Amino acid sequence: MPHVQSLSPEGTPHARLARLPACSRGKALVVDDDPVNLQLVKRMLELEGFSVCTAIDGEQAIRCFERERPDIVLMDIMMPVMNGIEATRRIKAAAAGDFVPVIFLTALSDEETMMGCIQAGGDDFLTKPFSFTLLKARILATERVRELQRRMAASSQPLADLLEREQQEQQLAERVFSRAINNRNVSSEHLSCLQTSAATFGGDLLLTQHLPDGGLRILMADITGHGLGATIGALPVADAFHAMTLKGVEDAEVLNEINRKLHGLLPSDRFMSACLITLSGSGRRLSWWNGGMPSAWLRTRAGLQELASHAVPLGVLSELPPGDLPRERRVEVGDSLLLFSDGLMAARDQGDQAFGAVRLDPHLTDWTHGEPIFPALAESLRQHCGETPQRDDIALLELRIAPVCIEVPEPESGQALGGDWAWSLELAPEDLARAGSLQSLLKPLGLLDGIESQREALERLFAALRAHALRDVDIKVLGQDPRQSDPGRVRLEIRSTPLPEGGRIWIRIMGHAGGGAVAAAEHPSARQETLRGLCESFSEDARRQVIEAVYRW
Amino acid sequence: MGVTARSDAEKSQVVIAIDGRFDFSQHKAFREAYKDATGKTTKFVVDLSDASYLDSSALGMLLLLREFVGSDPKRVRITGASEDVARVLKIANFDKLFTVD
Repeated sequence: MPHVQSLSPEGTPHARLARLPACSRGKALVVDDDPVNLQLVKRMLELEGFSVCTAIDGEQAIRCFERERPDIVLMDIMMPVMNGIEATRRIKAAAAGDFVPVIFLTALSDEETMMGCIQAGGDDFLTKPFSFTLLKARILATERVRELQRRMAASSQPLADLLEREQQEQQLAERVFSRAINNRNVSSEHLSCLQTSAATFGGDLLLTQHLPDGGLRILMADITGHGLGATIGALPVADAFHAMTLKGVEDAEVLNEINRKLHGLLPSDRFMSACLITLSGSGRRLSWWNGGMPSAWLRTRAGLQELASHAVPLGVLSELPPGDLPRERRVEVGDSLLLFSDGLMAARDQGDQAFGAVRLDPHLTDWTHGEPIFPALAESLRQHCGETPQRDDIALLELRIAPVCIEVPEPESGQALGGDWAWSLELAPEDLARAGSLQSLLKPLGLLDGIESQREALERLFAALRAHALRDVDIKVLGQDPRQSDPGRVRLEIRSTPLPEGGRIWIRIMGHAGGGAVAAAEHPSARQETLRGLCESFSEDARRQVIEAVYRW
Repeated sequence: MGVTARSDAEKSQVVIAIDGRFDFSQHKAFREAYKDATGKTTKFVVDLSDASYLDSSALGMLLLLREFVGSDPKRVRITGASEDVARVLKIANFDKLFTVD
């Protein structure tokens, strides 16, 4: 039964072909088991400028589609082997992201069949018999949709590329982060930590490192911004933290150095909130500094103490204000410290509810002295978050106070000496800055044997004295005589005398006598005050370029 | 929602009011609000009475304004912060960098 009524209402086939070059509109696939219909529709489409391939059942249609990748498909429904609806479903699946319009040509005109066509992925349908004009109109309409889809796909491609690149950078950020930063941390049985990363690296930083006196230093920080930018800021912070801590540099010095680095590196609107904690090797002294982080909480026998942010975050000001110094607390065995980033408070559950003070406070209230808070709090957080993806990093840490939190391996040393000795070293000023702790200088010689209990105090004194010599006094080198070929050096002398009970140690740093006026002599610095608190007596002679501290126990 | 700037030439003062969430989406509008003022003489008031939320990128924007006025804490006044917003400013100790009331 011929379904097609009129073949060429607008003119002769030859006239149409003359106007439209063959194949100018792309490739069409016509599927029909009726050879007459097939030829008629094929002819119409060729007149419209399509190159046409044909199939007589659904299976052939799929093979032809895969081989020819047509731009449009005209599909009969009732066919042997595989019907048009199933074939369309498969063709649409095979086309994936590409939009290939399928127009059904059907003798069935009931609504259910039409619905079935559209549900299978068909884009339009024509009921046989139909006119050539109507077919042309439908083809034009679907072509318009296809063009729109192609334009959209083309314009979204750069965006997709950008997203892909962004994801790669994200992975790079995480890789750099875990290798360069987290890997250098130390672990301790007294530390419990939890760190989770948001999909985009959120800038949370958790660093831990030993001090020469056996103590432990922790930096928990949050760099504003996300991704690679935040990671770049984290790198110099981690470098400075680890290097300076291993050398036993004082907290204030470490903070100043990190602040200077970040101020120079980050744009004005970026900064790093940070909480720096140092537990001395004796486990009795806790120094803390909080600039912009949520309050840390210290549970002592006396109760719960809030260590609230008292300082401007790092990287904002060129120098830390004099008032923003680290503070100290006496602590004892059984005390415990809780630190967290604001990601904890902001952690979302399935219903977008934040963890917040509402959930944290009961844990703080129930926190018994001598008991850890971490296990219950971490469990509470885990239950709260479930599988919900988080927008921000979360860092949570508990430090349980105990003497010598970190076991520092004892280097081999000779037989104990009597405590009556003098030791000296001449070195370039920059090497004085780089020289290690007293432990690393004197321990291998056995000079510290028998005075381990004084080690922590001596390390602190040495670090402070050295900082004072290099930064405030600007010590001049010994070999300034141009006739000498020697490079300039400063001299470090340490002398020890045993006393009936305890002993006395002199630490002296000497430069070139007459090296010039020294500003620090007229302006006592905060460091001088610190120094006086660390030893029995402290003196400096700017003209002679001698700084000396005497420690007695 | 948004940033509105009101300029008072007589007092040489610009009032920047934030309505709704003060976050990265306000970055451009906030910058526009002060960029044409004379950084050396103009005083700024950042009115947070209608700000419901403030995040770290908003703190960053305030720091840019601070830089614009040459880091003089008296030249930028932050007013009207609600309890939640004030808490964020307090934790960052911005009262040491700006006049906060």
